Amino acid sequence: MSAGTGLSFRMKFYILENSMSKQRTRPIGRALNWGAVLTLIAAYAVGYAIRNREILPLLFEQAPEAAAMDKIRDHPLVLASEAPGQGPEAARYYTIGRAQGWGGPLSIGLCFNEEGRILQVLVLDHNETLPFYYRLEKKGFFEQFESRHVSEPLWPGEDVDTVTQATVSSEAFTEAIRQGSHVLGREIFGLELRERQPRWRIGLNEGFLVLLFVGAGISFLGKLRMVRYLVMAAAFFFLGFHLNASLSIGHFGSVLLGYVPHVVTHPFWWILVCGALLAAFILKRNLYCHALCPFGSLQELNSRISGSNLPVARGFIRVARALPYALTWLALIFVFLTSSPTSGAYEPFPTLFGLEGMEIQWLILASVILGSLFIKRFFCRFFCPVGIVLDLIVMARCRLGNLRKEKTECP
Amino acid sequence: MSLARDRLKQALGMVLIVATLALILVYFSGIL
Repeated sequence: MSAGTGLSFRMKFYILENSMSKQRTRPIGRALNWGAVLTLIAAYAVGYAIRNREILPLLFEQAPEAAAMDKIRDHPLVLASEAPGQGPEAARYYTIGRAQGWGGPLSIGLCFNEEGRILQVLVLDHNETLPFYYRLEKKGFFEQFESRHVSEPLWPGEDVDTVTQATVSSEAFTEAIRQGSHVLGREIFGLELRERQPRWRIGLNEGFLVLLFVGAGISFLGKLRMVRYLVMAAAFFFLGFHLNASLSIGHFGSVLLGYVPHVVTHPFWWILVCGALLAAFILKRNLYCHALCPFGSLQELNSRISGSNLPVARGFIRVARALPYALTWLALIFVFLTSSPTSGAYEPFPTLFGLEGMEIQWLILASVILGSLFIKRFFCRFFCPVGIVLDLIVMARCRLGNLRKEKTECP
Repeated sequence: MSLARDRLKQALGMVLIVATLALILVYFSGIL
């Protein structure tokens, strides 16, 4: 990534291609592009067909006794049973609550006793990034709901403790549990439980993120190197270690799958994703990769520390240049087939900044950090799907500008 | 000597890229 111009390596290659007097037809390239698009559409269709799978079988897997229960209500689901000969004190209830998490929809199964107290919380389905989910489990997030009564508000920050660096996931699971709990309170116990209307959650984090985008824009437009370094450092600590909220292929997967969180309750998500997309579309530059990506900042720092920039063999560079495109395609195939935005998120960002991850994710992180000591912006150049998506938007915008013969900012 | 050193550097770069790619593919195969 160039320090001053905001031009990625891919953009420079695109500019070189377009500066040639005649465009050569590359049938293999076109065939590959069409093949990629068609397979993505097919994967989306297959994923859509199985996306609206029944949640009930997932509940019966974890709680086989629920299969024999009577259905009191459908949406949200309430099941009830009374063990024969044991009286009302043996009554059991099951409900299912749903909410929109960071990575998509999630479903919770709840088991209640005859008094309306939660006996068990069952996570039936979710799309949260695994390091965040493991963090919730490790911090005992779900255990705090046991023995809670259906009349309790179950509101994050009031009577529910959220987990730091997994706040959005905490709140989403809490919402699903509250839904499942309150529906039982209303249906079986006749309680009047009013659900609160969501309020705008604009705070310091949202304000600081907007400032970062403004700073990145100023550094690019004014070609101010020191401002860029300042923004990179701030983003490294803020987006990286403080919030662990780097942009990921999972965000774009969420958009494409329609798993978009509510803007009122998740303004940060909206500012991050829309800010990066709009900057690419309006400024025709990949502002996020240029100055905001905390992982990109780390790689630049590594290469400056080592002072090394290994050359890549000429014959190999053609293959290496296609790698991030191929990996982005593969990630999106997984996202569409599983209908889970986080399934294709192979980037090591959450592993580094959240210090949570599977073994293979730690190995990928180690390999990338080692590579970034020897090759400048190692992950960005050869593996990052976020850069690909944003660069494609920039390229498409430039092409649109050329078609309309408008005075373009594209070089 | 200089040529050999350049070749070695290029080889090291390729090894790093291929190793990281292999790990990412292992990650995807784990999802399967």
